[in-house]
Amino acid sequence: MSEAVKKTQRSLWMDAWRRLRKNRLAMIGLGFILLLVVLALFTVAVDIVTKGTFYDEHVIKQNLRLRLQGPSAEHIFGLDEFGRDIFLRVIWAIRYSLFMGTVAIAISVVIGSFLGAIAGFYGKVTDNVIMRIMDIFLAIPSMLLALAIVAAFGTSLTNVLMAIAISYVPTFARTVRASVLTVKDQEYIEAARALGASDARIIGKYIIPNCLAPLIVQASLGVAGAILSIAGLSFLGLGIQPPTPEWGSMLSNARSYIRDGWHITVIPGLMIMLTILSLNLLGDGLRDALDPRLKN
Amino acid sequence: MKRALTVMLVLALASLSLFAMGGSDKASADAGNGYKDTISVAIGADVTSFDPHVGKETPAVAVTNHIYDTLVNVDPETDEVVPQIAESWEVVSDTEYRFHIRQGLKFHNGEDLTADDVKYSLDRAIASPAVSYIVDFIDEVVVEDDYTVLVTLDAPYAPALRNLAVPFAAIVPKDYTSANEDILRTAPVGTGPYKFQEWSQNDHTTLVANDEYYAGAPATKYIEFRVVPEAAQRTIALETGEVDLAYDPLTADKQRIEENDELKLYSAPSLTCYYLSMNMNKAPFDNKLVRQAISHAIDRQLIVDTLYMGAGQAADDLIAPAVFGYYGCGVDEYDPELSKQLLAEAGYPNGFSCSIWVNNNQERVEVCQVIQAMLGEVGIQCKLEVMEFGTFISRTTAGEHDMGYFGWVTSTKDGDYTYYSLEHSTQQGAAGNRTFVNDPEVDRLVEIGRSSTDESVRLEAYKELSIYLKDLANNANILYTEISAGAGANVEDFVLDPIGYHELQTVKVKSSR
Repeated sequence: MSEAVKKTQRSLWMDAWRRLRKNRLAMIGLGFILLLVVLALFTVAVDIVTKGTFYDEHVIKQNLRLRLQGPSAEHIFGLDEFGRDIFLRVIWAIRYSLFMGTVAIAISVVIGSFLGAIAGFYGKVTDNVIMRIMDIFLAIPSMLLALAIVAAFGTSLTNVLMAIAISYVPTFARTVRASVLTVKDQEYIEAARALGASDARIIGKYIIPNCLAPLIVQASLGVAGAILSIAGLSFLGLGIQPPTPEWGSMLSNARSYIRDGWHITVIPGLMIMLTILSLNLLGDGLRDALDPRLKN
Repeated sequence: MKRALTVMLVLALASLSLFAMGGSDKASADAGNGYKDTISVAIGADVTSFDPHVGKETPAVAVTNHIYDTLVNVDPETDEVVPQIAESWEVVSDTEYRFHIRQGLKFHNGEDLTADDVKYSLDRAIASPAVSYIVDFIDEVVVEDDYTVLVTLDAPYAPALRNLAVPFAAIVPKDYTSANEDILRTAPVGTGPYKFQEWSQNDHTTLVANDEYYAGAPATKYIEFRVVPEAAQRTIALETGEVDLAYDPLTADKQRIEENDELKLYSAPSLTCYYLSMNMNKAPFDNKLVRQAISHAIDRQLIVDTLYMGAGQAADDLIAPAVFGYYGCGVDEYDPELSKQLLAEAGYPNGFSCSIWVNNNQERVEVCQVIQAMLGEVGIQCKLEVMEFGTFISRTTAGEHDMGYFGWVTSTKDGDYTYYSLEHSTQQGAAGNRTFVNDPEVDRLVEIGRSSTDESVRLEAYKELSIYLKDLANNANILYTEISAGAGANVEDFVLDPIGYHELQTVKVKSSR
């Protein structure tokens, strides 16, 4: 009996993967994201192996006499306003965007699903209180909320992370609550309850796993949004501080040179764009793949 | 609680600014004589306060300077002190100046300007923490009759007249202002060549000519100052003909303006020095060797040559060469080895960690990023913290910084203005001394320069001070900048002010370029 259940479960995810694989755009997105992950891991490995000397010598070391030099064989993306290699800076910056985007969304997924599940499961007053608070948060544009938090608590990596995480909580709370509402009246929940399972067990073991599909879709889109927010905050000088490379701050520093060296604005901008696009394509693909109604 | 309040405030402000968006786009009409009736000027920042005794930042004064007059003025071309509200004056003694006020002057609201207004204004400036340092040499202002005031000094003060010519010593109407001390902030009234017409915050300020101005009506009826924070945008606005004048173009854009036949570039050495203030109340900056090490680790010429593309000069004194009292004791040579050696002698052979604070002005942030990298070469690991101007000023005033990057304009063209504010022990914090230096020898020399009326004695004191400060190294002087403005080729009679308070009452703009 239990083996049969496992089998169907696995094939459900396998089904989704098979459908996703057929979606060419989503696969391109996935491929680009994987490439970024590999590059990011590679740069981390380089830093560990060279104990940061490569980073000091090539990523943040300035060479003012060569500033704004265009792309060449030696520096394929050219040099920035301080004469630093843009290619190296762009790939060294991946870790901040990807890592912070993922962590921020992971935090808000955890908090959001917890609140959403409780609200959806218990209903009535609990639901009302939690969701009205979420509504208040939703009424404030997320970027503005993040800005306000960073302005009040100061610029640091953690504050930026928290600011973005908090601003995404309501989205996840809503998503999870909606799925919980459809799941909680199903027979298998009733069966679990009849067998004497505790609320925590029912939520953790039966409800959440059945709400995962929309959550995954929302999270992959959320990471894209979070990366954009990080870049946006850094652009405004509230995110990652120099000389650490970060796409948003690279773009921001480059903007007054847009007429003197196109490459220093275009390249970080392109990286942000491609990353967001890839994540959105992947998210769209996942939505289609995980929707059981589109089985064929 | 305070933080929650900040969050709320930021949100409230942000939502307000959404409503405030969308600017005015008044096309400038031909006045009928082949000249435009409006001069459009792109400036980098909005007026913080139209109250001349409060809003002392250069972009604010560049606007309010047209609304207010001072007792005397300094001619930007000849550099002589010339009459303005006072039509003449006598130096009664070293500590007494008698001013004869021009008769028949009227404020923009119709009130007559009398000696009472002068006394009220100077007393008000002395009481204002923002500008007090410019007039606090005054002991008392005595009204002798309706059109005569006697200004008495605590002690002889050589640059007195030049200080009274600084726009923060503006004369304001007593009855109008004393009825509501805040009114000048948004509804300024003065005696200047232009009257205030309209202010749309963060967008533009419009002034209209005061046809009854004592020196004759201004050449152009309106001036519109548009706030364009992004320097590259100011140049673009100038190129497209949207504005007639663009203040402070980017270094990279200056060449572009020069090469454009439809545009003119005005450029001159400024009176501004940029410097890195080290907080002597904090270790390790209380150690002279550490401060010297920092100064020797900075390649100033490289910064000038690259970031500024040669438009500037590596600094040796805290005052620019055009300022009275400049001695020029030689730029601290760039010598990382010497720097490391000094650090080792000071007990920091492996360097140390600290932070550099700077306000969020891109040019300044870039210089600091370069300094950060240069200090890194000798083992000093700096964290660069970029903050909003208000925060930067209040936190450095409180002495929370390790090092801060500042700029200072010697508005009076007299060394005392800078040396007294930045180096005297009584001027710590808000007034400008953010190294918190408290050195009897420095104080002694500053005081000689301040109180002696003998030019050669003053120059000698400033020479000694310059040499002494080079060794003390509480400030690492970085560079002197150029002041510049771009103009359309159709702009006539524009005179660049080395401080940045460009006066536009004589400027005319031809209708076509």
